[in-house]
Amino acid sequence: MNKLRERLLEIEPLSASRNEKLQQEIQAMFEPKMSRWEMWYWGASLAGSVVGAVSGVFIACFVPAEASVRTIWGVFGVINAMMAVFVLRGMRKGSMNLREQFALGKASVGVTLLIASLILINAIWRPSLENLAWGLFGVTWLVLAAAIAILNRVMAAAIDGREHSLRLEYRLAELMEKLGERR
Amino acid sequence: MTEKDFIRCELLVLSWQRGNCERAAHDLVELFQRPLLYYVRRLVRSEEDAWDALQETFMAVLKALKTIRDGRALPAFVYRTARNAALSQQRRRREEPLVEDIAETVDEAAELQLTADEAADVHRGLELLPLPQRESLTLFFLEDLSIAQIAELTGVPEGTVKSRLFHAKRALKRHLGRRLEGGGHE
Repeated sequence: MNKLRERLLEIEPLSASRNEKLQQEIQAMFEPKMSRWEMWYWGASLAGSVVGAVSGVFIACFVPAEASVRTIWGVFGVINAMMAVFVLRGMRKGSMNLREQFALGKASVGVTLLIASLILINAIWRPSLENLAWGLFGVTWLVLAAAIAILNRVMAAAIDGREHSLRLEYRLAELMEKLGERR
Repeated sequence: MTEKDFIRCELLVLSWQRGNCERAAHDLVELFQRPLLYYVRRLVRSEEDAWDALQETFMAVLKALKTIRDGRALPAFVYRTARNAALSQQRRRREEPLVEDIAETVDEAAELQLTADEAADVHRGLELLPLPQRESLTLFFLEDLSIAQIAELTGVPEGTVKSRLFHAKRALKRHLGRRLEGGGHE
């Protein structure tokens, strides 16, 4: 690295207060305040989750059905309750953390995969006309969720591979730099 | 900009794509804050304006980061955004325009060997130069952009950038010479 460049950069004062303000602005960018439309969107999500949670728990506890079916509804209810708590927490804060939103997107695919698998296993385990119809419904969601999961995995693998090779290149560049300094 | 810095640019773009936005933002600020502040400070009148332009730059770059595919193109993009932010600051303050052409062109930039010890004089000398020359020479010293990229950034042909560098270096040389004659470094 050019020493003149470094010295010039050192001469320019870095205001601590403005630097802190910049960091705060950047931090705030990742937790943006919800707009009115976003409040509507998350409000609708919350309502959907609450309905899902109440229905799931109600069917699991009070509707006379096979134990396996009730278990599936129970899992569905609990997951919706967790989703409702997450959304409610964000809405009370008036902002959503982007990282948590990304994680939620990934988790949704996993949850869909889980519930679709449970429905399918139930249909295979206890074959009946009703269970087969549910099984068919499960297969559709299973294929869709699996396709999304595979696509996500392929994209993540491509990024992982690129990142790994870049880290190696970085290490190599670092070594070359040190070698140059010794000479 | 070193090869290591270019790789860091690529890594931070990947971090953003992966969803590690805060990590990417941290790396972006760490990598560009000081050189950008130095550059922008040479374009605007006050430190306050420079920080406002810097803040505007980072916000705009972070919003646009998802559209960047090639991390190596990031430095040029960041500097262009910073320049636009500084120009906006100037327009708000109704100060002298940045873009101003110099008709005279030369083939080679003047040879001027500077050492790190002369940094303080160079820093003061930059302030004495007209804006277009100051901008080109600042970018040249920061070494984050090539001559072609400086030309693209400033919206002038490469020959004009070389001409500006030639005149800027000559003026700086005169300034440094005067300082040395007048008792050396402070």
